[in-house]
Amino acid sequence: MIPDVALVDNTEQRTPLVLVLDCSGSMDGEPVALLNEGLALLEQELKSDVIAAKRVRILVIQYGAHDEAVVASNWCDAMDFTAPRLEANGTTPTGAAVELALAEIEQEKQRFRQAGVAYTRPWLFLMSDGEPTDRWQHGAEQARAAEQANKVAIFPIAVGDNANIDSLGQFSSRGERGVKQLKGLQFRELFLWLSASMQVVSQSRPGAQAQLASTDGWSVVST
Amino acid sequence: MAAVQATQDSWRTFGASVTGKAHLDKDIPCQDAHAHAVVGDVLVAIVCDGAGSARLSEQGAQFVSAQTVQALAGRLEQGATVQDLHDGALAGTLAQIRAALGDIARAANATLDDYAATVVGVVMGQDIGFFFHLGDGLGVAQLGDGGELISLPANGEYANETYFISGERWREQLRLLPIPQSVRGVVLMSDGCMPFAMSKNNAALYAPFMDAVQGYLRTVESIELGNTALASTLADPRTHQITGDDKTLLLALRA
Repeated sequence: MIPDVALVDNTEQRTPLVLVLDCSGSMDGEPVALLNEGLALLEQELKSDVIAAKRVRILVIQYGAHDEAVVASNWCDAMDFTAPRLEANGTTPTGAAVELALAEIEQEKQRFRQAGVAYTRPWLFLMSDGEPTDRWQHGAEQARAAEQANKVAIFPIAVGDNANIDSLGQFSSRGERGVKQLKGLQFRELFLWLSASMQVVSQSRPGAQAQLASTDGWSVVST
Repeated sequence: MAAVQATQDSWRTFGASVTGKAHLDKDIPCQDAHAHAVVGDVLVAIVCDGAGSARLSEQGAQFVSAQTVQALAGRLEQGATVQDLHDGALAGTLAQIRAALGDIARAANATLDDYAATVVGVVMGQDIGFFFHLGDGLGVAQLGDGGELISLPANGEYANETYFISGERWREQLRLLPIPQSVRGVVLMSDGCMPFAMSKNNAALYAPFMDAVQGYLRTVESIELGNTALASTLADPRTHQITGDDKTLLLALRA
């Protein structure tokens, strides 16, 4: 062993994660309460992983009210993330929310490049329990194009029986096959999976495919 | 390590490839490899990092590193100059080695991609040399005037994606970086070492690590002792908090 060698981590690498969360009126009550618990769990899990806490970078966008999409929690490293307490009311402007998310992702990448920070492919989680109420097709088109250009990985999640799988699928380059249906209101399992996946991706090295856990714990298995 | 010709007095070269924690846990072999040779005054050295996603990548890294050094040393012995290698012989050599790897793959009922590996290497003479680089990993020339010349990793847009010699577009992705003056030393590393051997944003060698390593190696009695100490340092459990990846460091010091 060579004496007096400093061994510290000088890596500047980020794994961006964007949560686009439906806070329309239909989410009111138990759904949004469980969603908030899931977010708190995500915070706790990511903070407990030394490497993920430094590398995962989170942005939360909520959409609802009068067709409004807003940043509920601005970009921050997981170690500084405090889960927002979301409230549900209003409509479902899915298109505007996704357009905002894609714009935020490009701006964040720009900041990474300026600062010389390496990054992994951003993940965009799009969760909805209903039907888009805005002119969402443009946002969906942008989302598909961005995913096809490898700019982002998009995971549409349908919550409950009234989520429109067809329109959610149009936000994914894989169409309806890309949509996961949440089992009941198992936000807890969803966010545990997300946290575990972020821990894997944030530590992934070139050429090594990230080995992610199965989504069976929270997603309805399609037959 | 392929020491093609006994290392002469002009260079003292040390190297170690150590299996990462993630590979130890899963019983996966070390997918890094390194090799070097000295012909006259010219150092030829290389570090290859086999892709984690490729099933035979440790063989790819070993084959490419050993064969490249042997072939380049052979060309130098036949009278090629450093400039000749820079001006085309290097690319030709890599093309031959890639083709030979393709033959091995076919014989094993595998594909070239199964042997995917990155390449970072150096050819360094008295006062001229160059890095050759495909994908990630990193090379540093410690210049005679005190500066550092760095051959940076190329990852494409994302940090967890890179390029390999097995790739179809390898020729476009091959980068050469001339080293226009004499050097005190050359350092090559796989990406597993970059977090602690380089400072933030890979701007320079990280002195609290590298000064201790080079200080020790400059005075160590033998190359073997130096290699053993280097391997133990790279295997230090403190590195497990930093990376799960294989770690290779090759240091060539001007005697």
